[in-house]
Amino acid sequence: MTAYVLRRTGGALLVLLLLSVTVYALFYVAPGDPAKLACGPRCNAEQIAQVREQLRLGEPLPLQYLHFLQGLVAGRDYSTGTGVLHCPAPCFGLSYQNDQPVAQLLASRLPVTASLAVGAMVLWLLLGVGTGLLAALRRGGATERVLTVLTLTGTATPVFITGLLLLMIFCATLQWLPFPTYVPLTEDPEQWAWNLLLPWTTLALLESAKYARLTRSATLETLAEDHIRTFRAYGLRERRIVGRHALRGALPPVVALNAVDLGTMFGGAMLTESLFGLPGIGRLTVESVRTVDLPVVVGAVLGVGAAVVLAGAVADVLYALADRRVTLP
Amino acid sequence: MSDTPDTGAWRRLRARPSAVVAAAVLAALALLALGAPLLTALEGQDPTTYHDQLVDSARGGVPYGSFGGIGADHWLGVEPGTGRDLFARLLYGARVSLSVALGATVVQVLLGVTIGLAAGLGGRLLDAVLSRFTDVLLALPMLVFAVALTAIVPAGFPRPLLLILVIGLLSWGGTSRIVRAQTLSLRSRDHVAAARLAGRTPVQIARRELLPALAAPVLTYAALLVPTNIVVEASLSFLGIGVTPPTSSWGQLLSTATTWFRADPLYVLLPSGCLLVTVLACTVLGDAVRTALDPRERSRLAVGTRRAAARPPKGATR
Repeated sequence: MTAYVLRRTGGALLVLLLLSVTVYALFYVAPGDPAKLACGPRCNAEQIAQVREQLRLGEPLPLQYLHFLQGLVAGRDYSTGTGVLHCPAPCFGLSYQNDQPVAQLLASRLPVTASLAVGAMVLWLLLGVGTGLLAALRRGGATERVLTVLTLTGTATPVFITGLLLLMIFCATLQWLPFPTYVPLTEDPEQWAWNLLLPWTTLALLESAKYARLTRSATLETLAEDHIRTFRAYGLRERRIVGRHALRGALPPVVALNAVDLGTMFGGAMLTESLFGLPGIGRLTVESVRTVDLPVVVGAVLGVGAAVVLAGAVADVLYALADRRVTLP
Repeated sequence: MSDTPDTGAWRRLRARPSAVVAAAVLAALALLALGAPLLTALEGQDPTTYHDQLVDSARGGVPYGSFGGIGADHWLGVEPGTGRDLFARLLYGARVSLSVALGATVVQVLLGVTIGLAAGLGGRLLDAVLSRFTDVLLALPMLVFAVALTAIVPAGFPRPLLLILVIGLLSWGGTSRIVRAQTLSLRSRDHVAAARLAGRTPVQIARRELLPALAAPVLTYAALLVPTNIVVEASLSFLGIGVTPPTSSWGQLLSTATTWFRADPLYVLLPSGCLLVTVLACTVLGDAVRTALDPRERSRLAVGTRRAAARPPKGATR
């Protein structure tokens, strides 16, 4: 097991390294002069030259990348004309907009994204696994068909439509909920949850469909196994068989999928955050793309990549732990 | 499964009422999009002219009249703020949404088939490299990368083409995986071995022996890619990164709708409705095509089998 975890982590790190090379090359070689972008539209030639010096754009690209990696591991100093800007590790560079270290920017947005992710996850697990179990219990009936249509609609509906409709119904017409603004958990837990309820629901409606389908098929698959037949022969109640024993068989894939989804969510839910005006990582990404703030874009992309790749590794390990039948490669 | 169009599959497809309805909806939609210039001419409007006199500037630009200013002149009312004709913008938006989705699907299929064939027919090393690359690509959240990529493209680049390329280049992974798997199983068949013994090059083998057999699974998968692509285009335009005004697409309309949903609900509901109906119709039809072409689905006994193909490709965009 330990060897497997180590190997899986090593593989993940290799993928991340390759990803960073690709992303770096893609974004910094692309058309458009980084120095000009960093300096802003009102810069004269002399200032641009100075920025070029500061960003070391004169160096050959592989060397630039090495400096970038070095910054990631050990931090980096940028000399401006008047002083030195320190960018502590992990350094993705300084934002073109306000010279703040990118990692610091991302970290400042993390609480919003994390609040959104964790709350939504609780909801989608409850909703998705519940629906899936119900569908498996009532297989072949009208209930199952209704649930199938609902989950199909759920996966097909983009969040901005679900979100807009929910906003229209619950905030504008019924006025039961406030128009979401982010209130930190540490400041006022009640307002925090109350404001995030709508974004959570929006995300959960989309995601739970996937979980419902997975739970249903995995439960049915387990129900077809021999030990379940034995339980039935002993006369155990169907509800108990499904709730206890079939659900146990459905858990490993659900846990694995959930790890991946949570990882992706930590990269920011761009659409949900933009729609509800929540200042999370996703919104930061969109804003920095609009202003062509390359270091922030690269930082956000690599951050998401890291979250997803690590979550994938965690998912694999969890799956192996939860399901002993899995043979480790 | 077949080298020729399977008449059995066609019959099974037509026997499903949901598939027929979905196909009819999509056909009507395609006609509306193609006939956009004609229909808007019939209405006497165009999608870009501002009508300042139709919106109430005192109330921030809400259209005069009930239901967003619906009337004989403007069949579905006007856009709040600008007063542009909503019917025309929806129809022209449909053209952008549909053509971007279809264009992206073509790019995805071409890339996916090429890379999948290369991985399946090439040597061990090539296969390992390509497969690993595909895995990584599939794992990464595609929308974030699509958004990021638009940052480095010059502003003058035509946006619909950019969207086609970005979506197409980023999500061919599913197709290539399917093609690779099929190729691996096909290449041990007798007719492929015979072609190889006859001295055919891999390219010839791919074209003459493999492509005909790949048509059905690829087509099935592509049918499910279209609705995903429609949603991705709408998402990018919603974020203000895809199509920008004066060009309209459903996602672009929705992105401006976020500020108007209290004053003019219809302005939200119309593009949402179009998008939802289209995506659902595509999904239902795609699913029906898959079922009709899948020999295992001929009996309805396939309950509870965990099949990867049953999932729509790369679903959620958050």
